[in-house]
Amino acid sequence: MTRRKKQNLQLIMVCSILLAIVLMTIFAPWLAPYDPLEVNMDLRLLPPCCAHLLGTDALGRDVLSRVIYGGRASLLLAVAATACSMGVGLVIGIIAGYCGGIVDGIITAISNIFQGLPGMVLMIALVGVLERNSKSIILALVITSWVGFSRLVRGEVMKVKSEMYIEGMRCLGSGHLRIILRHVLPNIRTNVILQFTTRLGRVVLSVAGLSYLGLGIQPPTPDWGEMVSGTARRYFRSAPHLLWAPGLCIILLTLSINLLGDLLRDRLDVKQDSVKEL
Amino acid sequence: MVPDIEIQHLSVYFDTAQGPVYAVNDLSTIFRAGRISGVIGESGSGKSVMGMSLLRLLPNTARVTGKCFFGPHELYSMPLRQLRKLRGAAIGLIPQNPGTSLDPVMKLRRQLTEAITTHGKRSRKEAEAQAAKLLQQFGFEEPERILNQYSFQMSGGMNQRLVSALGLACRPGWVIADEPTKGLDAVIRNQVYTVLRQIYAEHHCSMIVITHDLALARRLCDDIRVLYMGQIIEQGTAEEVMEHPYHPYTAGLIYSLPSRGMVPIPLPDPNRLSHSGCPFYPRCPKATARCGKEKPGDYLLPTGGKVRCFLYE
Amino acid sequence: MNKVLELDAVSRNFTSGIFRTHTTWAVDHVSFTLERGKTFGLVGNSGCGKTTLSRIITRVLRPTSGSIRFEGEDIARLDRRQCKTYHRRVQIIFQNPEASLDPSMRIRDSLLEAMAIHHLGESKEARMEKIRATLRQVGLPDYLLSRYPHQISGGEGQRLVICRALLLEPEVLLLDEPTSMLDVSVQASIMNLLRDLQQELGLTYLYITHDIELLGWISHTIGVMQKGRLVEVGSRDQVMDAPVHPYTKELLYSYTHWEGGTIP
Repeated sequence: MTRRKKQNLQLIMVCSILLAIVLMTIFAPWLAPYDPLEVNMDLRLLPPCCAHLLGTDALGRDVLSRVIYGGRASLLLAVAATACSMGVGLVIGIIAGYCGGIVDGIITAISNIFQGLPGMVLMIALVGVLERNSKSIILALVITSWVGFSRLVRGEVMKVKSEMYIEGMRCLGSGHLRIILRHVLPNIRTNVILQFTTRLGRVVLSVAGLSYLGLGIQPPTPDWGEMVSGTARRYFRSAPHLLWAPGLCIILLTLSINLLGDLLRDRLDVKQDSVKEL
Repeated sequence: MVPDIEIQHLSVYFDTAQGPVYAVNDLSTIFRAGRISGVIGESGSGKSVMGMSLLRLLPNTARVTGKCFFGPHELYSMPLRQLRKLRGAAIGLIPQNPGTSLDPVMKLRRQLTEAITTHGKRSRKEAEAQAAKLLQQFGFEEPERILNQYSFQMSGGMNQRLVSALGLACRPGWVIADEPTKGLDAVIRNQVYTVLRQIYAEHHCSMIVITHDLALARRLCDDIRVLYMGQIIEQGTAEEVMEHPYHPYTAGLIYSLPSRGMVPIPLPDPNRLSHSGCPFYPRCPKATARCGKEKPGDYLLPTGGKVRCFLYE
Repeated sequence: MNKVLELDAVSRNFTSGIFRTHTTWAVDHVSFTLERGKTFGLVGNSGCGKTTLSRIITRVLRPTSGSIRFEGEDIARLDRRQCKTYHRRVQIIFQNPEASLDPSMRIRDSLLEAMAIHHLGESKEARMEKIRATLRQVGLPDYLLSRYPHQISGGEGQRLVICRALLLEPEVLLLDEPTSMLDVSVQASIMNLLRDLQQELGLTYLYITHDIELLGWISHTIGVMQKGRLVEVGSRDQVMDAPVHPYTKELLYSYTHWEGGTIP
């Protein structure tokens, strides 16, 4: 009972942090005290004070406003990219797992190739070659992360497919599409959702990483990854306040997403009948 | 001399959202040393929970109250470290599902020698020699070849003999066999029966056989306890219980065997579901109004057995 | 027509090994006939190929050779629509009731689903009406409908699976060890239910089990399988009382004899 309560408490905490970040980015226009793009060269590199709670950056823009706005682009990008790779992985994984045989063999061979590619390097190369906009970032993220989904889905589908009730549905005269949509998908749902949260955490980091390298979200759009890099690095010694707010945001976001994944796994995992020595 | 196992007022319950659910309900009995005691009952009757409670191997949501005396020890409250010394050495377990009770990636040699070296200091060589001897006793003709194999290379009957050998590796005085014939076909069931008989004859150990297989209990056990909803509702010698059942539940169970006519026990009467009396009251064909209000005590039978039913007051 | 299902020299092999050199015949030239309204009992120990045979009859596996005729038509040559009808008229009940129901679906949805596949019943109300009637027929209360498969007992589960099969108004039921995971008293009630249903609805059963005693109680004809072959077929009385094949004798012997003595 107490373990359950502790878990609930953790879940509530993690969810509220996540919700706060999401709400902050959604309602950024109302929350931000200044326009994040407004340049004011007279107020360059101000330390935190009453007017500018987190100070200003090298171009005199309000850091607090930029932090509030900074989650928008990367969060949206990360969710979109993860959803896309989940979609691709789901379709391919179901085809491979359900059909089996030669189809599965070919798909597995292809995913092995993708698995072998070095993720971050490929992503940097792709974004470098393609146009620098959000479409190509999403494309790069999908290409490097669909394999994770498709492998998981393939395994889960194969497991469910070998269950007696699927054979039972066949014997009741049910078609393949009906079996996949009504019986296979609902039964692999939990694991796919879990995979979504863990992947999302990783993709948020990747997006921040790309921005840090100057390949992600392009200035002047405010973004946490870009804020940590760029001008902040140059003024690291004289104006450290530029670094810690966006950095903290990235840490909080990825941490809470990953924790959410872990907690959900504990929560949704029904098989807890371990034997204890009394 | 091997001591008796004496259970006093054992209750095991599981905390659920709907409140505690009792698997075993205020059960007291003495398992006499030197005999094969059968515990029969259907799934959910608490027979496995009772058996496992003796070794304190229960799901971690279980709560146990009561006492269990084993010679000078009280099993439910003694420190775990001491209890571990008893497990295997004094009380051996032959688990359910022989196929899954063996490590599939470990050669049988290591599994057997490990069981022997856990209790008592013996060199590897000695332990291996003893393992080979043990296998021979259990009817394996080439123990050396078997020791180099894995459990999945064995048939169901062979695995059953192997887990029995594991349970007896340290020559315990007591053996608990949990559902030894579950899911086996008639030919293998006969083999298991022969193995258990042989163990009893050769090792002179006392046994508790937990089973739903009435025919096995009849042939193998000296005395039988019938469990229903966590209580012993009838006990007596195997012959008495099986041939002249007193309790309506025992009778119902026996007459639902294919060889005894396959007459089912009636389903619970919906009008009798809420009651405060005998647990079998909702399904009992011989129930009276009193059965729904009072809990029957144990009544001694002229044959020496006990039955928990007002019919024999 | 008296013959519902005819099996003619049905065989199925499985190959293994790198070069597919090792061949095992799981089912080896098995022929028998199911007569309408009767029970054919198939007995054999684990691994004798009886489950493979049931999977061939349900068209999950294809036979390597031989043919199965349902009311005179070869089931390998059915088109899609006929195939669906075949699956409606020939239903299978598996060993483990909990595993034969989708764990993510409430019982109500599982039952509705079966009817929806075959477009039975005019409206949802009509379907629910039929479901309630069939539930009563198999002796189950209505409140089970809103439960999930893991919340019901083995006996209730098996009744539900039988109920699901009956909703489709089948003619043949393949019973693949339907009671081997149940307690004896539950087994007795399921067996009695099956016998009553047969008398009421004129169902044809193929009862597959390793328990020859059960077959003696329910079957009209018994077939004995050993290592993929049907070694003996005969009427219930002939097989139970005067077995011819040594394997049948051994099976019967191991039920009644325990290490030298008979059960009184």
